[in-house]
Amino acid sequence: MQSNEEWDVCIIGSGAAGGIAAWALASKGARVLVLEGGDWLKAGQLAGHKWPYEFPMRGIPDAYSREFFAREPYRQAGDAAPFRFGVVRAVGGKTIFWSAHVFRFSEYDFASARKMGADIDWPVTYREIAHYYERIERLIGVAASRQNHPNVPDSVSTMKPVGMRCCDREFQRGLQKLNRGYRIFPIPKAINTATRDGRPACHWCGKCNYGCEVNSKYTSANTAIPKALQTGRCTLRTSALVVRLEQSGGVIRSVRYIDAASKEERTARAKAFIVACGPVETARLLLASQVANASGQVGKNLISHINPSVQGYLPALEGSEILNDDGTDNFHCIIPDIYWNAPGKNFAGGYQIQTTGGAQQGVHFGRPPQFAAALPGFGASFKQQVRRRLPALVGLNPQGIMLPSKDNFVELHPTEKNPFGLPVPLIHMSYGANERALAKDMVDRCAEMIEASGGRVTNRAQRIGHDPFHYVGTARMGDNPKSSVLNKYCQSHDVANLFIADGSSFTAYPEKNPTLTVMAMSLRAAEYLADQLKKGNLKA
Amino acid sequence: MNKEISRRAAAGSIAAFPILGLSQTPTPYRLRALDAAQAEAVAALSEAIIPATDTPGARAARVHEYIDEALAANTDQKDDFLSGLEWLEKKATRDYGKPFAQLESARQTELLTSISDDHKPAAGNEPGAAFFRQLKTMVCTGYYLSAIGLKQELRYKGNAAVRDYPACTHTSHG
Repeated sequence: MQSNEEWDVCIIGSGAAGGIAAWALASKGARVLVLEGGDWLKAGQLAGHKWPYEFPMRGIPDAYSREFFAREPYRQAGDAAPFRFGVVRAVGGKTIFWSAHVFRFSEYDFASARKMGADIDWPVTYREIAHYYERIERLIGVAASRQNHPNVPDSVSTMKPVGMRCCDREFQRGLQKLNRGYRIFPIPKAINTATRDGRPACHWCGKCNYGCEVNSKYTSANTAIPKALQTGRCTLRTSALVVRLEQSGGVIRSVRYIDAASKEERTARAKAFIVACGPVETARLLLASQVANASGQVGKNLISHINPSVQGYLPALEGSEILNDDGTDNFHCIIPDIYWNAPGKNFAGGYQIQTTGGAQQGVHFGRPPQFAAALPGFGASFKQQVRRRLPALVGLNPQGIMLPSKDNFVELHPTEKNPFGLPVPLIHMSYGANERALAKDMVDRCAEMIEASGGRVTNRAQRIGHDPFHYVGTARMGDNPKSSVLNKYCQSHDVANLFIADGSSFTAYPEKNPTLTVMAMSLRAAEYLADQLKKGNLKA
Repeated sequence: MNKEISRRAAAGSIAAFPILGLSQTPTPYRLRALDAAQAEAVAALSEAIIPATDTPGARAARVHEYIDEALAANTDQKDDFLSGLEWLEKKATRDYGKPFAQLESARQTELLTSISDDHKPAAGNEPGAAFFRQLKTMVCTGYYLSAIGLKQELRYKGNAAVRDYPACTHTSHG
């Protein structure tokens, strides 16, 4: 089916970046089409509030799975340890399941791409992005406290932060004992702790990562997309899987997409295009369409976060009263990176540490209760030990950098195609010497912190591990078109009317969570695009 | 004081979901991986590992049904389990003259102690020790993710909606 309609902007993907771009552009008067490969979540589709015993096999492994929505294959090259990539093909994308941790990248972060292993610099500074961080924080709502940390810029926040758990107070004392300048404070979160902008205050059910059923947590689906639609200038087409960007005369003229329900192929025409499918699918689309890759960097520089965690318990809390302190999912507090201004001896970069503890550590829905089975013996005394141990559980989850590497990239699978005829992404990802050295330090420091807090370590990560949702870098921005895909406004160097608004644009990757920066970059890109459209500058 | 808010009220218009609770008459469970004698053995073993104390034990939590379900879904796991169970029943018969489920409690404890995970198994007991580990892991999953295990035994308060995030009640934290 062919439509003669031409939009001002066509946005591909309705996740963190796509939602912000749609809201920003529609608010500025542009006629926007959003093409989303997935659908709106249906009532009852989120499983988080259901008890494990309401499912077969106590809900393990599939009942609570977030990868339920991925629906198509991804392949990994070589025999490195499996590198899981999370993709959420639904309106809202990965924001449906995110933890809503919202850290700004710092002045140091934007100035230190090379220290983090990149061979080029960020083409932007913190100063240029700060204004956009603020506007995003005002849109999404942030619950945070003023910390004045030199490497963790404060959010604009009018809502009280999530509370420190018992374990966090013990960690605080333990860190003071270590006397190395470690700090600990509540993670700034895009979760309402008061009613705000039509979304209720959080009810502390601890199921953020399973999908927020009351919309206290910001998602693209509960805020940016509805606000875009409310302008009357935005149309959202779901089940619309884009398979090709069609370029002629130096600009993208149209996209081909498949209606997943009818399998019909359709065309959408627009003056400008924003791709925001997430760094694996964005790279795949660009490579399959053979556009915007004069630099050869599309798909390259794939980076993620490593996170080898350490678990233990605090004997002082054994047998204490069980509280309903699940709160907002696993992690309530952050111990920011200490290496940013005091480099490690045998590794580049650093890591932050997320803290967790209490009952939800032991009874994590969708997983076996390993803390129980790990206690020795059987019978009444074993049962008693398990009961006493539950409130005492603690965990430290470090999140640290990977160096970009020529060995880590996305390409098109030579033969395999997905159900819509697109080549399957073939992902090359493995850890190098810096990851191994950093991971060792992470585990050693976390174990030390637990012990300094009066705790005992029960489990040190044996493998490095990574966050399956934190990958970035596959269409990096830079000043030089020979070595980067995008300019500082996320605009393709090669194709004036093509922008990439998602985390593909990252030049380098500090230890901090990516999504707030994705949204700030997307807002900046969208407003630049609107300005350029108005001036007639996006033609070939 | 925290005020418990009804989840439905807080959630707005989330569609009602049929919930299998303790108030509903359960349809009788039909075994798929274990035969009746094996299921009885597993029920007895589970109860020995997590017995009734001031809260119900594994038998009341239907852990043997969970184990049957899990084994039916995984052939490799089932094969290992059944051969381990066979080893254990052979030992019970050889050492005490009866299948495990028919032994008195003290003998059951003795047998399990010989293969428990709190020590290195004596020579010849290695298959039993491996079976013990597999069994105990499954018993813990079946028990601690059951309604009895979560709510009565562990007194887990989470997965509930409250207005105020609870303050730490430990005086040592000030």
